[in-house]
Amino acid sequence: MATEAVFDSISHASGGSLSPFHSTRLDNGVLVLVKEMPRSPAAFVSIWCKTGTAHEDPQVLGVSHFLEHMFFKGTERFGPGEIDRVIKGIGGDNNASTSLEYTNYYATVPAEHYRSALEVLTDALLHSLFDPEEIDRERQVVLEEIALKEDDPESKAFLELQLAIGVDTPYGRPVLGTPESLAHIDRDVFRRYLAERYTGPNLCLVVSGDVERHAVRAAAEELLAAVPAGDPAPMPTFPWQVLRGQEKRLQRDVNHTYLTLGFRAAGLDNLAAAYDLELLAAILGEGRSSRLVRRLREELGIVTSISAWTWDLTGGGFFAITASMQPGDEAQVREEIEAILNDVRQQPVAPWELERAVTMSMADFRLSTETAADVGETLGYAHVTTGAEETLRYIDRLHEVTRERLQAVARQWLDPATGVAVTVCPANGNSDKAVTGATTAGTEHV
Amino acid sequence: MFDFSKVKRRRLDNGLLFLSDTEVDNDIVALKLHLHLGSLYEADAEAGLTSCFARMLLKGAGERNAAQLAMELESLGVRLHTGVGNDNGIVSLVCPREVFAQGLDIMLEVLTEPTFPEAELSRDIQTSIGKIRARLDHPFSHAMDLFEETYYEHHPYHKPAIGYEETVSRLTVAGLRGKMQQVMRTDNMVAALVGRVDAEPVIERLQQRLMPGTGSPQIPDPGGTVGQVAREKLEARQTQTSWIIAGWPAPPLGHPDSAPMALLASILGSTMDSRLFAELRERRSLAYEVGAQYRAYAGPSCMICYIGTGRDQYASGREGIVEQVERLRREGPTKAEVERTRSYMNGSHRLTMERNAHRASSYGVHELFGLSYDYAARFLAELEATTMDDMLRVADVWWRECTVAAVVPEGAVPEGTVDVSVT
Repeated sequence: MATEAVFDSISHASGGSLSPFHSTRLDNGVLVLVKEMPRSPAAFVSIWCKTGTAHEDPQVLGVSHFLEHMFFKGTERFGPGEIDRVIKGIGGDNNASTSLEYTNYYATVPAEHYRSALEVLTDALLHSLFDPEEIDRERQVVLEEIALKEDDPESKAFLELQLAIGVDTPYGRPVLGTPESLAHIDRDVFRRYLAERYTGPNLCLVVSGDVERHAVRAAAEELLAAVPAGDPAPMPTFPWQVLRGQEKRLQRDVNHTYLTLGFRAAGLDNLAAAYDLELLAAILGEGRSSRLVRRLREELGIVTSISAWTWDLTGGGFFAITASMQPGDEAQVREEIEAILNDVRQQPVAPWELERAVTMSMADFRLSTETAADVGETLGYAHVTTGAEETLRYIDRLHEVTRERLQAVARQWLDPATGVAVTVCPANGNSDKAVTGATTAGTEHV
Repeated sequence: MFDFSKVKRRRLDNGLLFLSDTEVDNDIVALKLHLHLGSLYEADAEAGLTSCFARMLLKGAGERNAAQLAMELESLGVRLHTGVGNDNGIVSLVCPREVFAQGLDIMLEVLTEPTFPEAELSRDIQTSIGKIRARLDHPFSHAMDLFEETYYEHHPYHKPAIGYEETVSRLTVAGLRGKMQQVMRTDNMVAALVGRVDAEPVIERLQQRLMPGTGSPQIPDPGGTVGQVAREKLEARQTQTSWIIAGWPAPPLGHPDSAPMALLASILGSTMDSRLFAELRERRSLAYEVGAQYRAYAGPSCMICYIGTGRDQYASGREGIVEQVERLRREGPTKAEVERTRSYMNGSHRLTMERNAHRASSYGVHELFGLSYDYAARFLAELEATTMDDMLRVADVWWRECTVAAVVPEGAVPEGTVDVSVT
């Protein structure tokens, strides 16, 4: 019988609605995180696996994402589509997602039905049939998904940026795979991948909402008993150094020009720097008083939209600026972005800028951890990135950031000469002025 | 079932309808002001005016210019946003509880003393033109705009909220001031507060700052007859996928046929077990994105089905949608589908009401349209009471003529298609 000693209670003064949460590990290594929220009407049930595109055999790129699709295509107990029917029938919703380093499957249901949600998700995890006909059908669906993203200029720019920044590393792979790699994926590939990657130490069950942790553990013990134990699968290691600058231009049937300028940066390998870069992104490109928005949109009116963002990964991170503009403004936009980046490299940001960014980030943290689904999503994502306990210290970490640290990461990672610029632009030979910025590795036109 | 009994509804001395729900467990406060505003409230020649008006409220108020407003809000951690749709607009304040009083002060200044600087308007016009052009770059939004122009034709809802290049280019500060006089009056809005705060000081501030107008507010009749003639309009672009929107007339908000229509639309395409998903994606692998939505407005409404399908699949995608709608219309749903969908809609409602901001919006927008803040409870009861005969009748009455709009790859336009343009 589960006792109080089975759970670690993890709390922190500034953890907000995430604190405390409870952690326990099953005998097969599966980690179970529970956040009890007795006043919530909901339960969020999610299974997170530390596996994604970065762990794939290059011959079968896209297998993590394809597998995610196949989990809903039939088990020994539920036919194709029946899992969705069960969740809908109990008043809930479900979905899944795949990224470079994790995959997750989740359902949000009225709290009293959390066990039913857990039953169907674990059934999909452990007893999927991978029927060959269903595989062929779903392969077509994934090909449609690839085509959709090709058609969207911002999705296309993002993908090309990711491939360019991640070049020669596992991060330079398309999450959806390619038509060629998808053709190599069959039932055997799925079963092998499942056996290798979906082992106890790689899995985490997160349940949040009006649930009781011991009951959750008992259910998890029963329903996840068949998960094989094993060693945690290691993340491949590789050098992550600053790149030489590159340009890639893609001409499409568009009216606007879409620019994404990205850099390799620190990630989960250097948490302090990752927090610095997150705040720097807020100072540069979040909100109307951020530098990029203020200067390029509000003052000069030369962009329709502009923002900055970071992406933290185990072996490093991405820092990027994304903008859309009228084609004729591209050259000036590039100059202004370069000037702003050089400015933050040459001198510390103003004290009010740091304070604003910290305040906004704290507010965002609170506003995005309101519901059971918010909390579960945050804990699960934290588990596959920084570790769930670290996320309770998020507010503290923000307050540790200094203007000097911001300048230091900007100097180390955000030299415009090392940026990768991907531009999706009109195909009609727009009258761009000469594009300045990094061209040391040549310009590829597609 | 969500407990609406904790909502207090009051008509304030200045005529403002004020709703409050302060029995909340968390430290997030949402104050939403819903207004009669949007495409319905502007002539075609001034398309985009109300959307611009909503944005310009945040571009200077009282002694603060746009930059100062932005800085102050962001430095407090307050989210103050504005927006418009077909027939309603919103000014939304969401923030941590400890900064609510300061956020409220700024919100009231924005609502009562906007300055509409000429230079800010010029910049907003340029940005809007950029956004209008950029919409054409995203095939789904392009297809939706095409559908609304085709389906709504001469009804005010045909216009995109952001307007057109030629109309937004002509917007003036005088136009904004005129709109201000017209809409910013207490009998043209509803306020809804959700959060663990004392409502009385909020009421006092709202009564001090917001004023009734003179005469009666100008609320146009949203009615009109649309979608009675089958239409098909295609645009060809250099894309890889075909985006198809097929729509049928549907009952407006609050209509007795709303609940049956909502059930039918959900069965057709709201979740991964729906008919369109099961048939067109799971069985026939025609699409990654496919679904249906019931778009209920104060005026003529629609039920749309959408699909993003392969280059040469326009005909299959279109026929696939029409076939599923026709089948549902002819045969009705199964008992199991209805039960499941009722459960889903009940559950969905419970779960979405967990978020304070959504709760405030739900109370406010339903009151704005004269349906009462607890309309959702009545609606769920109507869902429960809907019979198979109701659904068959509603499908038969409303789903007669279909409007199709699509953005398809160049070279993939089916032969015989009459209304095609290449952009």
